[in-house]
Amino acid sequence: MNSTSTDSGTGTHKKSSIEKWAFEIGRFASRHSIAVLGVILFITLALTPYLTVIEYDDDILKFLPDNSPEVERFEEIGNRFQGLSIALVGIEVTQGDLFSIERLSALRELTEGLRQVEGVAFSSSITELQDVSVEESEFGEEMAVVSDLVGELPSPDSAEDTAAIMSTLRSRVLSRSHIRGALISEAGNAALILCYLDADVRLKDAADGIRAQTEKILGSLGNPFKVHYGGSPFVGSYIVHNTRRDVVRLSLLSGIAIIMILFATARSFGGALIALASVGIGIVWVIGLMGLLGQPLTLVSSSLPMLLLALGSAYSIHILVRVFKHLDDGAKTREEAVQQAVQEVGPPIFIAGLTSALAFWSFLAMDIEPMRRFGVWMFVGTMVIVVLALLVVPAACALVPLRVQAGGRTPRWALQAMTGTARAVVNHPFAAAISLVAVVSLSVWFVGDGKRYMTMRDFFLEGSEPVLAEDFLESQLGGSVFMQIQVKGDIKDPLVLRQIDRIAAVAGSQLGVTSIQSIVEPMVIASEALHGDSRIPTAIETTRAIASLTDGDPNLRVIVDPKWEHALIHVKVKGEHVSSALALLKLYDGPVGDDLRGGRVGVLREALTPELSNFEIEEVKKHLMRIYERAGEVRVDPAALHLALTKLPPNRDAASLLPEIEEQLRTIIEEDELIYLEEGKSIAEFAKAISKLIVDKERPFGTESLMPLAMEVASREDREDPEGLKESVAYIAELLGDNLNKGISLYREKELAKLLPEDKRSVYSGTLGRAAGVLLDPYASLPAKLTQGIPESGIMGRASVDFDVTGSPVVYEGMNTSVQRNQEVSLMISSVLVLLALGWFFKSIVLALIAAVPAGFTLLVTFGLMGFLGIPMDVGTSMMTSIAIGIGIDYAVHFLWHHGVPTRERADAVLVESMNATGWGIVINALEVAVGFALLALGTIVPMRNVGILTASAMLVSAVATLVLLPALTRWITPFLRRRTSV
Amino acid sequence: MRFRALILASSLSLIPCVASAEVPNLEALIKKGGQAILEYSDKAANPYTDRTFIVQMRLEGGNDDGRKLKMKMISKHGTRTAIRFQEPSDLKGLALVIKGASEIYVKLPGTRKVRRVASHARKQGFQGTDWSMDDLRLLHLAPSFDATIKEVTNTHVILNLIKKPKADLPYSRIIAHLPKAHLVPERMEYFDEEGTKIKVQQRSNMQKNKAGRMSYVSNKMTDLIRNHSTYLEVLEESHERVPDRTFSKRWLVRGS
Repeated sequence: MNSTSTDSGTGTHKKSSIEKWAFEIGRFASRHSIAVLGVILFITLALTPYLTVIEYDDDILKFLPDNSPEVERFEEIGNRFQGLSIALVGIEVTQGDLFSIERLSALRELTEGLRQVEGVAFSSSITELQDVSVEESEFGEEMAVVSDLVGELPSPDSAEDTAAIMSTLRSRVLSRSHIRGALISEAGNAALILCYLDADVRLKDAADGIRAQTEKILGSLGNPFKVHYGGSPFVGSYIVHNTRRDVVRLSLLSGIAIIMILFATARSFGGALIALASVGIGIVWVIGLMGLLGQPLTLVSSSLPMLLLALGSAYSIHILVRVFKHLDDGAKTREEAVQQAVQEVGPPIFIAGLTSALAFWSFLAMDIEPMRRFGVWMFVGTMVIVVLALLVVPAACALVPLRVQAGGRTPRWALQAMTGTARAVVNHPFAAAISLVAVVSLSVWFVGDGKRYMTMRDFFLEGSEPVLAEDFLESQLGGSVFMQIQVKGDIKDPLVLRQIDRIAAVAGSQLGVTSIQSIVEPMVIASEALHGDSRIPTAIETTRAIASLTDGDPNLRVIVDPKWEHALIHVKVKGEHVSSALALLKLYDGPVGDDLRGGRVGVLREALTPELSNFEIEEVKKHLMRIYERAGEVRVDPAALHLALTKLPPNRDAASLLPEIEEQLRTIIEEDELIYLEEGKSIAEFAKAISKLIVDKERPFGTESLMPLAMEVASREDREDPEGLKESVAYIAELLGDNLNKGISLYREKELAKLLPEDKRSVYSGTLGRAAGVLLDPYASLPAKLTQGIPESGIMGRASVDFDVTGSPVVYEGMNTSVQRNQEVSLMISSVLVLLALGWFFKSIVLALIAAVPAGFTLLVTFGLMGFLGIPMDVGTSMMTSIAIGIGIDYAVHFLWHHGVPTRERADAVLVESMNATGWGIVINALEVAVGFALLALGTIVPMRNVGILTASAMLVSAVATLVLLPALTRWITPFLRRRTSV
Repeated sequence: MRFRALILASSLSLIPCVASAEVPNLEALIKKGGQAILEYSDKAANPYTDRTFIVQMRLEGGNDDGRKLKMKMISKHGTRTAIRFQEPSDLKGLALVIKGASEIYVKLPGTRKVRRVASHARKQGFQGTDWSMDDLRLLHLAPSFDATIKEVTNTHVILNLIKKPKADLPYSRIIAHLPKAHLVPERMEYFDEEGTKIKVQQRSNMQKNKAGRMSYVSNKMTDLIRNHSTYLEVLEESHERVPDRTFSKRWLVRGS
């Protein structure tokens, strides 16, 4: 122990090697002050240029654990589908709506212009979409018209009735339920441009580029829109820019505040400057070294200067306070005062620095690479600052004239307050213990109450740009958070496409999911256009052909990979419901997921057993229930659902079918010339025979049963070409069969829609019809495990489906889990390391444990405060463990080093002496750093504010715990320690 | 959703033939001016009313990277086209009858249904293919462009074609390189409304067909914006009369 407390319980003081070493440093620095300061200044100047070259790495994904399956999946899928990062440019019309030539032209120009931005793989908005509508041709036949949703816009000075054109366009666009509310608001006054970013792009750069391009294009058009920037790239960019701005602005404020407090408490402007300069030089060295070695600053390590200031300023202040004390006590020379001071406080400074550094060294056990690097740099930084404090402060104090102040610098009231409180605790152990237990209990009560999951809003203040953008996107366009489900399988296979539809339905039924985008929608649209059926086609040849025909469409590249082996379902979620949407992960890992993944077999209806038919119906019912849930209708009566799903339209006889069939045959024979009729044969006669065949229960309707009827009416030319005629007959059979099925399908669709409230029917009836329609397909899709007994002749096809979930919420969830895990590992390792270091330093495990009490107490109170304030454990706040340990140990070591374990008789005198010698230094340091960090609460990024508030509170709690608890603890353990010593 | 294979297929009728090996009185044509040369070129490039090809297409660039398509194409008067795909396997059985952008009949494999499709998309070939439906109308250039002679070299007459005011085409200008030997364009450079060169069509590998006429059998269309190319190669060609009913649903369903 220190020579000033030689009567401590540990025995007679003998100068330790650390003290000798500290004394030599102090002597060297004070005797060669100019040389020491010169060398340090030289190194500082040499490293200063590297401050400007330091890179900034804003990739938040790097904060995910090594070999994390979430990250690997996210990156793998990102590479496969042109990146999963989607920048959202929301545009808002403040007066009127989007439907004017100028505004739509501007939207188109902006959408196309954003593709020119480096890093943007693809951009899309309503102006880029194609649309399929069914119209009647000039011959009265049904015709699919493929056109642009918005189409060519007339010029503003066009003679056309532009108002009427815009009105029609408005109705058309807003009638598309898959677009309304997702790409354009319900009122048509807001729209979204989706910018899909390249997988390897720097998100911040791409976001900045998009913003600049948007401002340039819209500026040239007279700024027709209010623009909102949303999505993870813009959020990341905002964080980076504002963190930098805050660090510069608040560092300046903190610096001024710290100088003022130092000046007020140490009562020496020169001393305040020396203390601050010592830390400042250390920060320049560390950041300069990082720049020199090409180490980038990350979201976490950008806080390194502030943290070093918080932890490092204590060292120089302790030396300074001690130097002042010796000067004020009448040291002959400054050199003598400095040497004495360094000899006294050098050892605790060294051990305090070492323990703080070790707390950060424990980061090496983390599985997050930037956190490990941060730990190493904090270790290096802390030790550099310790060394600089031991060199710069003595050298500067020896060189700079410091004013002597009679009576010391600790204000009398402060000394009385400190000693009074400590005495009170010693003298009233019961009351003190109750208070301590109360604080500890309260802290324990709140520990873990912090938010489990951080949403985007948790990063920003109300009214900030990202929050306003989020509000806009949530209220007008369904949100800005995306999750993705990757499906593996032969995506061209109808069996797989059906499963994708069902997987998407499960996602759609989750709370907060506002829109779903998958390959099923374009496949259905294409089927409607090329096949006349707005469902997933049943034949694999058809789906393959559609896939091949549409291949190359850039819109598809974000939902299916070029080989059609993986498909992506994009799930848009409202930010406030992200945690609910994350329940999908558990849902898909459970029985729901088991039902959806695995082998699927297409079994022809004629080969189905009653059990398998029932199973198919039950699966379809589950699918339908998901759609009802998505529509907000969760209380559908199962019996009513079953009835609506299996009900057949009223039976029709041959006579009622005849007119319809005759009309269709007239088109087939007269216009399409599928069959040339024999002279004397009539279409009416043929139609009559067909209508009888359709209602005949004995003979199944199909090519085989229809062929003899066709042979009776066909011309000789056709009869002589039986293969050709058979094709025509098969065509007629398929067309009429399809029409009959369409009738049933539409009937059931209406029945199923009736189970919904009236206002939801038009939105969901098509989806319900599509899900129910599979029961009319020529085959049933069933799990492979149920079809083992089916003969091969009854099998139509086989497929296999697997899927997994990714997206930024999943990744952040992985990050949260990782932060928690790393936090625990780091806490455990740092505790052991710190205790070992303290045990070595104090040569007593009991004293080591006592020295650790303020740190443990601070840690507990800090975590309790986090819970109380609802502050989540994130990458930023996870540093609090090391900060709390570092600060707590620092104060405790200084105090205990001076105070020791005095005899009962000398205890009070030692207390006063220790408070006078170190207490005030601890208070000065706690105040200046607490105020400095509290200023971070003025920052714009909430996690930074949280770190500021928590660090400030940790400083104060740690100081109070040290000054109040340690004297009592040393008093209470004296008998025990004596016994130990006597042994 | 962009159905680019439909558009790709429709471009096949643009493969020109050459009416004769030598242009009668080239000097007199040059004296008459660019428009006269263009009208002659249109006739020379389209000597047959009925043509049946088997063509292979190869797509290079972007995600395509050598993707091949093979099909039989039947055309009449350059206004009606019937196509049946043979390769790749995914498209085998796909058949189309094209009578214009507003009248396309499609029969997909795996079904016998025939669907009429009208395509009014603004940028049909945009991002999907190097050809567009607009290119179909360029079988005859003279009706849509005013031609002037840009340059006469030892081997070629180079025409500068400016879009006529009423022509509804995405190209404001075309520069056509016509070999003096037959005046059928060998190279065409397409410019958009802003004057940017956006496409280049290069025809090559002239061979004598069964009828003894010379014909380009290779064609490369490059989209300079997307850096994507479509190669066409004629594998077989005949000029027998094609019955009108080929361009019907009957042909699509029955194949005859």
